[in-house]
Amino acid sequence: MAFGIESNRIGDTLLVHIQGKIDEDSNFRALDVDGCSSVILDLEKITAINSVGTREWIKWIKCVPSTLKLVIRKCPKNIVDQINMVSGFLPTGAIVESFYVPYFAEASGEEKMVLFNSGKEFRGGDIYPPPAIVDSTGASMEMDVIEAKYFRFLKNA
Amino acid sequence: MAAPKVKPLILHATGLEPAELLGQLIEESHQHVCQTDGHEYAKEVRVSESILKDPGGFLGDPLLTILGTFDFCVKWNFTSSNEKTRVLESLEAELRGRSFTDSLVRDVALVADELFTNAVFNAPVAGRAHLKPVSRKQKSVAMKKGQFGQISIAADSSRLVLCCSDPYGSLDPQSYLTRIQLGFENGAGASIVDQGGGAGIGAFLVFNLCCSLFIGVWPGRATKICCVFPLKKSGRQRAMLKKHIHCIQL
Repeated sequence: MAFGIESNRIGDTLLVHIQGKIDEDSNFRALDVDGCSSVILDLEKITAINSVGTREWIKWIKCVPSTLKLVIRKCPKNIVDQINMVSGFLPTGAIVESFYVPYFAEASGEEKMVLFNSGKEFRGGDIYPPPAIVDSTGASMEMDVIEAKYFRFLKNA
Repeated sequence: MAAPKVKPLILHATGLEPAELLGQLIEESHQHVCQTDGHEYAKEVRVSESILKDPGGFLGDPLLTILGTFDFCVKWNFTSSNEKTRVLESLEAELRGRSFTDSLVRDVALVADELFTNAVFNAPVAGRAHLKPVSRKQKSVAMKKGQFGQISIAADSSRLVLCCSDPYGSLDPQSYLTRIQLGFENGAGASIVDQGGGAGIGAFLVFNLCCSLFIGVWPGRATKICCVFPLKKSGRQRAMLKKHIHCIQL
């Protein structure tokens, strides 16, 4: 999937969808935030991010005025990994509204991404996983992360 | 008079975190560090012994040295940065076609991305202070005529190995390892380079994702970096493994 940024306004909120691979070829254009009080970044369709992409992301996100409320939605695992590994990946005060958590079934080897939402599967720094995640055979799936590391960004928020 | 203590070329360790592990190569001059709680410890030790007997053999055919026998092997040659998308998409398709898990495919693809970029952009200018770092935005960077880099993958029943080679042999292992170590000690964010060529965290990302790293340099002739990924393990199990590391210089 080619890199792309699409934005549209809903009232005083700018909703931005980013898709594709974030790398040296990604063209991060400045956001038109005039008259906006908040920016929502929907990251669900980001497929990959490399080291240069991380640098380009940080340069771009720093340009979002700190006076605006910045909300991050549907972070895929690769973005959560960057948030945890790279200080400054998210500006101070950015709010993560939702993110994906990988699950794995030992017997079938199936993987699944489960969306965790603020106020439901996480509140503040605490996690409240969904009761039962199953694979295509109905077998139970386990959270496939080292929890202390994967959810660290929530404690630091 | 007591004989001076000779540092073992293979250090057998347990429980070392990445920064400490790297320190054993950087500060203590071991060539191989194999951890008993790493993936396939015994095989890793045998590979280390094989490399010590014949380091040229590793640099000639690293996949054969690491795996011995393999179920498959695929190679892609490249000569310019323009070929990155082709090589990486083909690599991903090959791995998905062999039913490796999505999380493993993504990890291997990211490592291949970083190694490819290093081979094309960094290797030609490394150690040559009069040359500026090449901007990653530069549309096309090509190797000299007759030269090529190579990405290759091979696997046996428990390990997938990704290897990237370049024809320059310019990598300085000490600098490379130190950069990775700084990422683990200070956090990757502190290592990011704002201007110029690379972002400065590619090597850190590579080592973070693999369970064993081989750095081979034949000065002026070739650099070969190989990353081992464990098979039949979940993402969490892969992340919990302690790592091995090897440095081979001719």
